[in-house]
Amino acid sequence: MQIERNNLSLSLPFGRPAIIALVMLALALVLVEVVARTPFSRNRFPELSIGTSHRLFEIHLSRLDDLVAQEGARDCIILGSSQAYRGYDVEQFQAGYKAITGDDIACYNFGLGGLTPMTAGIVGPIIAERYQPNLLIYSTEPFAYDVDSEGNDAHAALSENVWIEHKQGEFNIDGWLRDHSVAYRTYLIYRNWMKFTFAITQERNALASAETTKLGHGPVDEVLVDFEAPSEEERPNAWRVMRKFDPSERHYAGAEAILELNSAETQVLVFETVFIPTILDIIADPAEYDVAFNNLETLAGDYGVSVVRTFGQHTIVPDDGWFDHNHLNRVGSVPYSDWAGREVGLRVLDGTLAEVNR
Amino acid sequence: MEVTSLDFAWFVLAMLVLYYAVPKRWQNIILLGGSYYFYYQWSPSLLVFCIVATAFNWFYGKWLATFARKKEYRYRLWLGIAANVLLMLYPKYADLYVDALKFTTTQVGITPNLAVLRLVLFVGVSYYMLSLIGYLVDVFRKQGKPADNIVDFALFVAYFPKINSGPIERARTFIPQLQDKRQVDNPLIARSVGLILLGLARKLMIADPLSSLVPPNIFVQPGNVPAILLLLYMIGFLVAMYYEFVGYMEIVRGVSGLFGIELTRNFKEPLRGRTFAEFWTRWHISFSTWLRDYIFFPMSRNFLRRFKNPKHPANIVVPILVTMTISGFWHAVTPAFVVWGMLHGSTQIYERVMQIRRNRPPVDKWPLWEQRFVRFRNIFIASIINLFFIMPLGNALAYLRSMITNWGSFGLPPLTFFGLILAAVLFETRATSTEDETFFLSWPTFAQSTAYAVVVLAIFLFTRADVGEPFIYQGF
Repeated sequence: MQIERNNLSLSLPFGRPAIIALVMLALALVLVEVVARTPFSRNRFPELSIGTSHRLFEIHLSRLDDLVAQEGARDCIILGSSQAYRGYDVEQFQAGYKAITGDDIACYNFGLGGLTPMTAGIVGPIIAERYQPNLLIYSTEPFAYDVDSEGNDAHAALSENVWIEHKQGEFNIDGWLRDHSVAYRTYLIYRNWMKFTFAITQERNALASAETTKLGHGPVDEVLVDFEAPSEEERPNAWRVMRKFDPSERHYAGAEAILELNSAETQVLVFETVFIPTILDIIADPAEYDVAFNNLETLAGDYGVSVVRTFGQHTIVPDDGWFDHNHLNRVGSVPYSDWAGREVGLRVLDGTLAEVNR
Repeated sequence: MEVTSLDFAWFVLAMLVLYYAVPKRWQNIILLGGSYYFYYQWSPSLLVFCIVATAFNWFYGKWLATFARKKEYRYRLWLGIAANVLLMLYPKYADLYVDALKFTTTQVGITPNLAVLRLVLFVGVSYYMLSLIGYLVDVFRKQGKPADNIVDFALFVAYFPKINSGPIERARTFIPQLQDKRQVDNPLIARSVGLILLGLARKLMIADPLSSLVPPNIFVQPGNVPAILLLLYMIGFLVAMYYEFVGYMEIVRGVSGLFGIELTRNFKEPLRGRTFAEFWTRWHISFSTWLRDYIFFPMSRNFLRRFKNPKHPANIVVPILVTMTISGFWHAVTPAFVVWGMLHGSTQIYERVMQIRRNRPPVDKWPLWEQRFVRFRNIFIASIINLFFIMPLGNALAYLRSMITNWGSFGLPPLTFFGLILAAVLFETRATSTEDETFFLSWPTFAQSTAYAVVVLAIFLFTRADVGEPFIYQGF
């Protein structure tokens, strides 16, 4: 058969090798996908990737997917920065909640190193939509809203990704594939195989995986010895972003994106991040902290969200329970998490929150 | 629009649908409209500039053709050439590239090295300007007729597959293609698609990964980097550049073939060149033949008239040195490119002198072992000269200095670097064992299909490979 159109002269059949190639490719990909989904394959590879450079995010995503598939939906998810990641011992949190309410709840710690409010505003809605928790705990603090922390690398790592864009509603084929293909996500674990830092990156990823518990907690064992306010040389980053409160519109917008999630289906509760008060000594006027906190509380109130104040609760943490002035270590996370779980339980009992367990 | 992007693929698809949907007499108009749209995407101001240059040369060429090819009229040709050279230089200094720079950086999300980007974009204009200068010369010499049809002429200038990086086409061979009956049949489509796939594989599976494996700071601060690393990366970067360029050319030639228009083959196994003279007959052929026809030959004839003996030093040295220096200038008016051009000129001068002094036969008659030795030696020398192509003069000299002195320490690139070089060598060996670029089209159907499936999958996986650095938690 001949197709003649202007100067196009096509004899059919045409393109047989290409068609056969497409069929071969399709069959091979289906086979690879089937194999990739088997327990045999899954057990041999680390947590699946979606191609971000924030490995902890991927570890959480993959583990939570598996956890939900095996044990059912999570009642609550804790979202925050490294302070949440290190500070919330989920089992203790669950125990604290049960001690008050008598109910079991299933939670997960989705704390992410370097997570600022503006980035939380991107990942929070995605997590809420994906896992539909009854309660989303957002761990945050006034220090986090300074404009100088906008340049944090986590934002680029988490926002500039096709999967994230896809989940935000910007359909793209690559993002869709990452959402649906286990084989592709397995390949993405090793996607930087060409880099000369490949071996180091894989090692670092393995460490991150090993130090994260089944329920997402990332305890550390180092102990803070000197409780005096850190010097600028010791903690330059703290001095850069913590000693002033130039409000960042992007950070507040991110927080609002979390607060907006508050609904009957997914309740939002904000926890102030716990810290040693001596760190306020780096601020010119420590009263500014309270002003900033009140602003945050007011904003949360506009969305019907309560804020749990932790200021003063540092006393429940033993002296050897701090990694640094605003991070708990393994020891400190136990009493703090128990207290936090009880606080949630109390709010369920007094009607501030609806029941968390399904 | 990058030629390896999905946007470009959609654009070509849309162009093809339009092209074959309209009557034949409208096809060139469709191509011209599409080409202008393509160029507009880079920069509206560059498009305006292109249209102005096209109009100027079309009218000027028609006027020039009314004069006989006589010495007293030659100044008119030189005026036209000067105008084109000024047109070529003006945008570089008038920052007409600002739009294009912003566009490029937004597309790829990187902070640009503005000097490099200016160079890239400047070269884009330089390609069609050389075509226009060649057109005026051909018209004056009566080696080509002035274009009658302004649409065809405008398409010769702005044809989208070639406008950014060539090949540099000659009006006398290109415009007749636009006017003749163009037949696109099964073999041409198969060959064109084959070329596109080949080009994509070269660029995405060899060139891009190899480039990404060369640490970018190595060209800025070679410092204490072990000499062996500097040496390997220097050679690797030449291979990457070659594959990048060849791959690009194959893609645009394949795309053009789908419209029934053949573009000049720009590379013919240059790394098999046994001498530098031979190398330049195989590398960037459209550019080197342009230099040969419009600078080297006229200058050589001129010098031969003055210095009758072909072996006179002036005849051996001046034409080639000037030609290659101009070649350097054309890329960029910087000391590094001048040195680059002069070094390439010097290598050819050296070869010519050695041939004369030793009374050597042509290279074809040399022993095979000597041909191979010289070939690899020249690849090494070309890699060194290439340093002046890819970095400023000071950096290139620092790099060379470090390569000579830093032998106290040792280091090797990652295994994938060697893997990619090996793949490049093996592929080049297979590809160049035959004159037929699309040699795989003669394979049995099943073998072809398997090759296509493997290449498509490999391209997908390679393009998904991450070359960014992982996020280091900052413990906020």
